[in-house]
Amino acid sequence: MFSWRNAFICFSRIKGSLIFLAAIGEVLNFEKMIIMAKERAETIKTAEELAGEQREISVAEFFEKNRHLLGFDNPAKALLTVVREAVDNSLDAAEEARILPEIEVKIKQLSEDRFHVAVQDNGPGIMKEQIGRIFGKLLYGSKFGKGKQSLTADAPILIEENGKMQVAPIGRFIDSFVQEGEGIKDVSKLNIAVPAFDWKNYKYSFKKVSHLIKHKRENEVIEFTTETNRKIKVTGCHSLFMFNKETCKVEEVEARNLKEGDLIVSPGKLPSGNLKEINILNYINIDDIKNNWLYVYGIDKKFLINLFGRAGVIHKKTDKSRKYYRFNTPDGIIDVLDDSLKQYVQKGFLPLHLFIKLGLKEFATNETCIQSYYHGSETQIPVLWEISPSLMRFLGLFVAEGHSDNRQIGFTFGLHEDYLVDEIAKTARNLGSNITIERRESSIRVKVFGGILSILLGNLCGRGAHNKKVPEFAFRTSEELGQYFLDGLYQGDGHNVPKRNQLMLNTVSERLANEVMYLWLMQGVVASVQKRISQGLGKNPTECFAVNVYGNSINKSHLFKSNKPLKSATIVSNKYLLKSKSETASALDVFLNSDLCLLKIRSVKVINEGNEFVYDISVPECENFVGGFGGISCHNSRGQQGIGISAAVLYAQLTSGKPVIIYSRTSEKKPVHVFHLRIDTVKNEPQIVKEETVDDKIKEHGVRIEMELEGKYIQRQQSVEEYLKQTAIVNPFATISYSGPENIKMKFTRITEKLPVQPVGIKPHPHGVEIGVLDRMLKLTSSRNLSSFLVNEFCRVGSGTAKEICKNANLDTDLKPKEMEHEQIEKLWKAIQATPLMKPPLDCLSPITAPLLESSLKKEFKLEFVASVTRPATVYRGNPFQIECCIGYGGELKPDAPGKIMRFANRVPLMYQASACAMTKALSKVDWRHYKIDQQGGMPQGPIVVLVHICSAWVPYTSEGKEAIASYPDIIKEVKLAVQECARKLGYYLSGRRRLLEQKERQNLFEKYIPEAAVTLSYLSGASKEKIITGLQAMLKKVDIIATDSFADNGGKPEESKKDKKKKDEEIEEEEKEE
Amino acid sequence: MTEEKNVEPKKKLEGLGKKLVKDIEEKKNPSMEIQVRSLSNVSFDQKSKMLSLGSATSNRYFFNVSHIRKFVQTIEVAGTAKELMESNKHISLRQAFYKMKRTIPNTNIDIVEEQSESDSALEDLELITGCSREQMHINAKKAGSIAGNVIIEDSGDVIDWSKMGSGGWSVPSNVEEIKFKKVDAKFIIYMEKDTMWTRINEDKYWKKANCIIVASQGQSTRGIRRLLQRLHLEYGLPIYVLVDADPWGAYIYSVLKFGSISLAHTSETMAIPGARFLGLSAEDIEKYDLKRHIIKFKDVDKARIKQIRNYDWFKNNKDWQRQFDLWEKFGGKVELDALVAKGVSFISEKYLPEKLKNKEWLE
Repeated sequence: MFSWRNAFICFSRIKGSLIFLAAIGEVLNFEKMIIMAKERAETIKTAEELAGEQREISVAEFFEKNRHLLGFDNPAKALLTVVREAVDNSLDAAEEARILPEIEVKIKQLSEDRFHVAVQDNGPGIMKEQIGRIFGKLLYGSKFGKGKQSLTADAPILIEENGKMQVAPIGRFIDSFVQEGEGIKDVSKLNIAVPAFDWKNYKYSFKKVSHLIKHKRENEVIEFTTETNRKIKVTGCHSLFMFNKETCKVEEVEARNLKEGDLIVSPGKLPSGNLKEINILNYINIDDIKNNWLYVYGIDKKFLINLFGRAGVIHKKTDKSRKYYRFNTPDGIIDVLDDSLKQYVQKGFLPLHLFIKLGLKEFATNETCIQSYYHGSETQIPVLWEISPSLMRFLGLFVAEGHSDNRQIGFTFGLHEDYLVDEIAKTARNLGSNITIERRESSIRVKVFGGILSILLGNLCGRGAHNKKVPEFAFRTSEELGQYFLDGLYQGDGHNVPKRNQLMLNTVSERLANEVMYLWLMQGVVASVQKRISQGLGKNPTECFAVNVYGNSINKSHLFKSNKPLKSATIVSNKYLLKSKSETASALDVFLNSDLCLLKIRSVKVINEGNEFVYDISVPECENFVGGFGGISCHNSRGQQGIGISAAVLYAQLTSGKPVIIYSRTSEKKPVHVFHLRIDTVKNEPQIVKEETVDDKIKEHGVRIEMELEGKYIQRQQSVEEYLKQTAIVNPFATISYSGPENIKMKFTRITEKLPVQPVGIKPHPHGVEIGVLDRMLKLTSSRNLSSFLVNEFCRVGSGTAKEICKNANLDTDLKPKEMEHEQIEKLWKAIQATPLMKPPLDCLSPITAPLLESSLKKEFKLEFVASVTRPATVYRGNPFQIECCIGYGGELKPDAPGKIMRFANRVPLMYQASACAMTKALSKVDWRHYKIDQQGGMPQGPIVVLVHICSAWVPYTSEGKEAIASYPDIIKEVKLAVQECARKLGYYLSGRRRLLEQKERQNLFEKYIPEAAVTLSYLSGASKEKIITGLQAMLKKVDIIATDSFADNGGKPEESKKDKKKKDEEIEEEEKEE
Repeated sequence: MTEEKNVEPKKKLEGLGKKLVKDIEEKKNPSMEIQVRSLSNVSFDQKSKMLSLGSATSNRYFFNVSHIRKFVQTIEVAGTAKELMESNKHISLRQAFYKMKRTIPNTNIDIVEEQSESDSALEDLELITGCSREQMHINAKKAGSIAGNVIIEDSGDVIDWSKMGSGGWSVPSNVEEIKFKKVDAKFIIYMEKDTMWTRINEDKYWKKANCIIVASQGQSTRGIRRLLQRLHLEYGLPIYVLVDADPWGAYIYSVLKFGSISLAHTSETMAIPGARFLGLSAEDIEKYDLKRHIIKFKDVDKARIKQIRNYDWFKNNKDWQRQFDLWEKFGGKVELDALVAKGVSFISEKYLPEKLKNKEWLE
């Protein structure tokens, strides 16, 4: 599942970029670090000195060169940027911890260009270990720096995407996101995870990937081969982890500095899961079963009655009128005939396809089974499978020896493997299927029948020798169950080479080889993969892959049962540790219990050719991942995200020469930690120059950052006040207080206690998919045919729509996705674009919502009128986005000034580059005069404020500075429509206002006549003049008399009728043309 | 001191005032109901051969931007009328206008700006109260000329219409109090043009033919119409009408005979269904060779013909439709004065005697 989160993305997110570098210091030798820090504290340099050194300092130089991108190009902007980074971070931290943010900003002017800035929040606080990483390191991604590091395209990596595991070459994986040339793709909203080790205990776990990086190779590529035949190819400047025997620390080392005999850190064990049960329906596509008579039995009758009770009832007339139950499913409408239903309820079953289409997969129980008929005999296969040792062995054997065709699966064994036949037969019977055993001259064939079984096993384990794979869930089960799978696999295809203390698995499936290797890693066993050309038996030579594991004593048939010999492979490697110093024993202890192992480099090979592109992935929390054959820990250089606040820290340090002070409290029970932090610009690393604890400054929990910097204080536009004001408007759940120079004090109090909704993940929308991504999805999908691919991998595609797309593309629905050629893919892509589809679901985005925006804006300007709209989510180039607009009028807004325009992206104010922004462009396309609003230079004029907010998983900024939205026509159109909708309401209001004025004039008119009329009336009637005057004047105040019945001119326009949205939009567009 | 005859109208006026004050007390937008005075609410009564006002009414509100001005004018004229009745004095329409005309203090609003406004307000008041303006002591200026063998008494003075010299007697607005002492004349000739009256008077045609000649300039005043009606009803004198051969002349005849649209409520006291159209008829134009004196119709004239020929009281009248057809055929009008071209005394010596003798009129 995609998780399209549109939380704040400015430069930084505190919680998102926790990196545990400082933790190493703590674990290994924290005291030493403090001593170093103290030494440094005594030698803090002045700004001038630092500035003098800048030329030699890479980070500082980088900073200088990219100041404009980072928002530090002039003193006024720099001050704002510092505040902005800190406040955005604070909001993020609190919001993610589900705390209502309370933020305090203080700016003191020390001299004309010198300021002291303090920003404090009530977030969860920051652990000591995280501080350095968050505030301290100016990380350089390859977009800023130069091709720092990377793997070559063929390095396989283990990836978890949308909950499913796969092993894929990094190049193929990243190419599907970044197609042509270099690029970085932010995938932090997608559910992509890789195993990465935690710096604290060196344990591996799956961590989310934030960026995928692809760039041109600029350095040499170095291939390392270690003992146990692990290989990794990296660029010369790529960092690997090395174990420093002297300090007993894990250090990052550039690859080119490594030499034979060095110990590099490698994963010794990858995390396994604890999956105990699978629902086989998760591995079956609707198209797999369309030609089969399959039924789901064992459904509770009450459940069925309930289910149908909730459906709508319709009548269709064919030969006679029949009653149908109608279900609206995400895949379209399903009608079920009344008579069929009666049968279903009576016997407690449903056809399988109906069961899946109605989304009942999740309701399967232990009683639920799939019934099928074959040759008159019926089989019943349970839906929920316990992942038992026998099942895992069965699957292992199947991968090794089995094959599947339409109706059955078969195993072919040698005569000596008789004992396996019984085992297979037993497991198969347990699963509810029938078997036949056929003994031939030199082999035994076991056939297993069971309707769904052949489909299922084909999906799980691949069809044909070249496509064999490890069942996806094997990566998610426990270590032990994984063993049984390997056991089965090796029973079938393994070879024992006792001489070399080696266990070998030969396969022609590259995928299987890589996956088995990772499976071994989950066992804590380091395997290697070798590719060779097998001459075969006179046929064309084929590529063959050998997975090798080494152990002291390998007994293939009782692989894990006897003495677990292979475990020792890791220990063998770790024996080097024992040679290191004894005083670091505790550190060693950590290491010995870790998931890491050390491998000695056996050979180093420098390659200067090929590999046009190299690849990297960014894992925010750990900055490492497992790559290469057999997995070697790679350090990724792009910490991204953290650039914002650390840039602020660096700026402060460069302009004032003073360290930044960070106060942090994680709980009321703990003291406030104070860190004096500076960045070592040579090493690009944070240094805590002083640490202490205090009791005041922060109540309960939160972070306070104090820094001194050079800046310029300005007011009004692009000022700190303005930024805070705008931030408060779009974050109505936050309370922000501010005290600034010239005795300015402001407080923005929250108007809602409701934190923004956490968006729900969705699958990608077809219209948003670029052709390269489509290509990749086709290659990686587990769907067997094109139509199920479309249904399974995208949102808003049902089987009907899938068929339509295929028809439009003139492609067969049964095409195998993996075998599609480029031309076909292109046709498919064009057809997808041309096929009308529902927009992606709204809930993947989290808008501020119109009512909140209104009250927020109203409060800020004491507005006389406010109108807002949250547009339905739509797509630009397939990425869902949503526009919100709010227009306010009157109140504290100046009547004779240009209208105030406020732009926001994901709740962050955009304060610069207005003219380059799509929002501004859209605004200038609106004919404001049409809505009775003055206009100058295309922009509204007068006491009006226009607020536009875009929320999107991928906000398309014009540049890295994130100050303007790129002008996609779809975005401009949506903004324009949103603005027009609000402006129209304002227009109505303004004409109503004019009516009020007219009414006032009328009242005056009546008032003038009253005394005259009263004299005459009094004379005519004899009643007293005063009484008449009083009576008439009293009536004057009753507006209903003044404004209703008798007025000849027609009052306001009739209320907006509820036309369908589309029509309304068209009207808005037409409206202006009419003028 | 209020005279007895004024009691009824005065009560009506006070009643209006009381009704409005009651509205105010009940917190209702003060309003007065007025019958609609437009063609849409006027119908031609086939039996009485008169125009009569329909039942459609409209409300005039105080709190209504487009009503308030007229509302105030109406009560203002009512106040004026009440005052006149109480002092038993009469004023003219123009004087009533001046009595009402003033600027509201501290504003630029005049109660009335033109006499047409006060006149119209008075007409509305007539409808509201059911009393004529004369009853409310507001009169039109005297108008027209009259001569003939009749002796009357007006405000205590005895007047002999046969001894009025070249100017004739001018008819006051209110003719209700006039007493006829002696009526010798046998019929009445009413003409549209004062100039033609002077001509005939000079010829002393009325003496020769023993008739009454009456003229007004243009549309006849209410006083003249009432006077003619009284002579017609009280003494059975036939009335012959002489007007220009054009739509305006035709409508003068129409008002005299059937009543006017804007004052349809006064038909009963003013319309003379027995009045006869003597000339100038379309036939006269051919017969007396007046074609060369035709003056071309303007667009307004043509439009007016179309309007008039469709009035209910003309629509089914073949004779009149023929007139209109011929006019349209001629494409122009002929004025009474054109007869002079045939000879200065042609009208009194030839035209009138011939026409009357041959009974060439339209009923």
